[in-house]
Amino acid sequence: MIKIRFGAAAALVLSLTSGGAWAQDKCGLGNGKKATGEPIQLGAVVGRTGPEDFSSSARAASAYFKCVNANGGINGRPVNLTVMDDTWNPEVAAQVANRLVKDIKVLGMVGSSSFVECGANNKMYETEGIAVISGVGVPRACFFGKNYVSFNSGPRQSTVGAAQYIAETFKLKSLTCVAPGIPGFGDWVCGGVESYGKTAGIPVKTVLFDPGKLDGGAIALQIAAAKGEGVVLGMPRGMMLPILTAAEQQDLGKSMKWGLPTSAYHVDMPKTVGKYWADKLVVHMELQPMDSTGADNTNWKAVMEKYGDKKDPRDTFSQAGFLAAQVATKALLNVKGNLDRKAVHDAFKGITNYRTDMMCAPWYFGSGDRHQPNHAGRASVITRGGFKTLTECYQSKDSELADILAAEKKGGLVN
Amino acid sequence: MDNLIPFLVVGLSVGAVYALSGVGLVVLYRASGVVNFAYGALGGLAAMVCWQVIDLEYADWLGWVAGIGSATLLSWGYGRYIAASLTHQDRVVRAMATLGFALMIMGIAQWYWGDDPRRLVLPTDASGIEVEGRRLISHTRLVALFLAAGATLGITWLLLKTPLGLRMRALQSNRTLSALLGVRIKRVDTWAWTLAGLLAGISGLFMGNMVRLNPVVLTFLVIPAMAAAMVGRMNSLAITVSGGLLIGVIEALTALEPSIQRYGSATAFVVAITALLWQQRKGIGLSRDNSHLE
Repeated sequence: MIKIRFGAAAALVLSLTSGGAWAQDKCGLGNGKKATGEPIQLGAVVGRTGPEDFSSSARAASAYFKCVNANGGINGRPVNLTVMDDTWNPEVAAQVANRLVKDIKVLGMVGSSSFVECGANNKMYETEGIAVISGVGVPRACFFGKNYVSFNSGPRQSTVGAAQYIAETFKLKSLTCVAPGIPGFGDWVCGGVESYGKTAGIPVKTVLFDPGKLDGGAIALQIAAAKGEGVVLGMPRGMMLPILTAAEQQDLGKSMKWGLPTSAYHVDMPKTVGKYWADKLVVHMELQPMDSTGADNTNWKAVMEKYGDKKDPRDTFSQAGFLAAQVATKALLNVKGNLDRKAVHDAFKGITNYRTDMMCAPWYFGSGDRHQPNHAGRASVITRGGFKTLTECYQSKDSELADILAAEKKGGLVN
Repeated sequence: MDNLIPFLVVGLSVGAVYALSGVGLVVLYRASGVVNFAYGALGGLAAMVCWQVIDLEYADWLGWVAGIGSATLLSWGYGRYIAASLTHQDRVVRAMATLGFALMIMGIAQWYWGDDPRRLVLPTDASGIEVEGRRLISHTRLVALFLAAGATLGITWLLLKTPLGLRMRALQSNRTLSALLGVRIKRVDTWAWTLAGLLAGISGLFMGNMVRLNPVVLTFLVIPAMAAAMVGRMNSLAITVSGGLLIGVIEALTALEPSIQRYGSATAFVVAITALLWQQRKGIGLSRDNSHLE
């Protein structure tokens, strides 16, 4: 059931109390008719080429919109999602976003995932009245933008979530947080673990490394030298692997407890890390386990199967991109009247209390100065054949969330 | 000092692979006068092919053979058919041609395998030498060290004690005169390319295991190898090996000091530039006078 209400500024407020009840492989209007009207232009900025391909979210969003277009579109109009690569370069991120907003004249942004675009483009999005429902926010700026919201909880919350689980479960007395020394990323991510450590009375040592560093061996040695009883790696999956290889070569898996954020929650990860790490790597999940049989999760898999590419990753970020496209579609379908940038902005920002079986708690955009609706997740462990879910949903204990929790308490965002 | 030892050991093992790569570059340069920018790309290809074969659940040894074999075969093919047709071109042209070759291999590998994070696991990863209950060095890194030493000794022996080595040294001294004396330049050059491909394949497997299994990252590992070769003036195998080890050790030690660790990846440039400046002050040139190679 979809509840719609209008605010003082005539903003459309979309409130979904049973979003998860959508049938499998059903998108948008679900009428099986191909959309043929004038395309609705949306955009996404991703870091596809660079240290790692970070486009999983937009790939899933594209697949979902293909499904929407094959099922009646947005009241007959197809969605055209233009995805641009920022090459992990802030200057390129600004250029491609300008092209999307000023040349292609997109009405909104959906499914972005980038290490650099939030810092480069937040201001412009505000000035131009563009609302962004990104799949995946990475650096701090993605969670401190007025017009930018993500479906993931971000590397900081996820790394804290992993640290929290291993510290509390194994009663650890010290932790080491490892992250790449990218400004606004590594220090921010490990700052979260330090903040948790302070609250829990656990000393935390931070190891920041040069992302261009060639040898994981030296990083593994720093981890060993820090002598933490537990280690968390706050970084993308591609950067973890050399460190895990070196840690295995130094047999650190036996002497320390290891926790990883959701970037490690990828269907290939158990095979990639190898049998040494089976039952040793705890992975925090920002969204529902991939094998969940919930309606939305099943729909995600079905949509990716039918409309995605075989090579598109099946990971948390893909789930996030799917959700971004799904919620954007529902918001667009409920816009009454002219579908212009302001209407889309208001429709996106009006989303509150969006419930899906893929998340621990309702999701919202709202009109706050910053947005972090996802701040709870689950813990899993890598086994020989895949992942085993260890917990139900739990809240991240990061002091940075105080304002978010206070805003939620006031009411109006989640019920 | 106790804290330094593990960093030294790790640095030496990575340095050993740089050294091995540097030796491959020097051998080729000495025999044919070509600076091979495709060395890293060949190594990257070897690592990816090896991973692919193992991922398809064939025996590990088959993966190693296929990986090293593919780099060797490709290098042989380039030496036999492309480099041979460029023999009379300027050295810069010949070097740039290898850059094109590198970009081609890298592009194809990137297109086929993409950026997906992968890991090349070697059976020697899970065991090693333990000191006071802590693993000091894994067998993988130990094997890399021995291979670097073994390759240097083997190639030195090849150059000094075998007819092929004699011909290579003859070409290094004077290609025109060697040709007049009956040395089959094309054949010797092809052997040098094959040897370089073999070493690139071996280095690639280790780098794919120790660093990152990504064709682009591995292609650019030619930089520290090139720096090691520059330290050895593209001539001395012993100094090249020392240069490679030095780069590996300094790179690892920078991790100890937070204020400089972010500059660790610049080590190869710093070492190469320092060595070149020092050599220039001392009047030492690159691999003697190579004008005869033209």
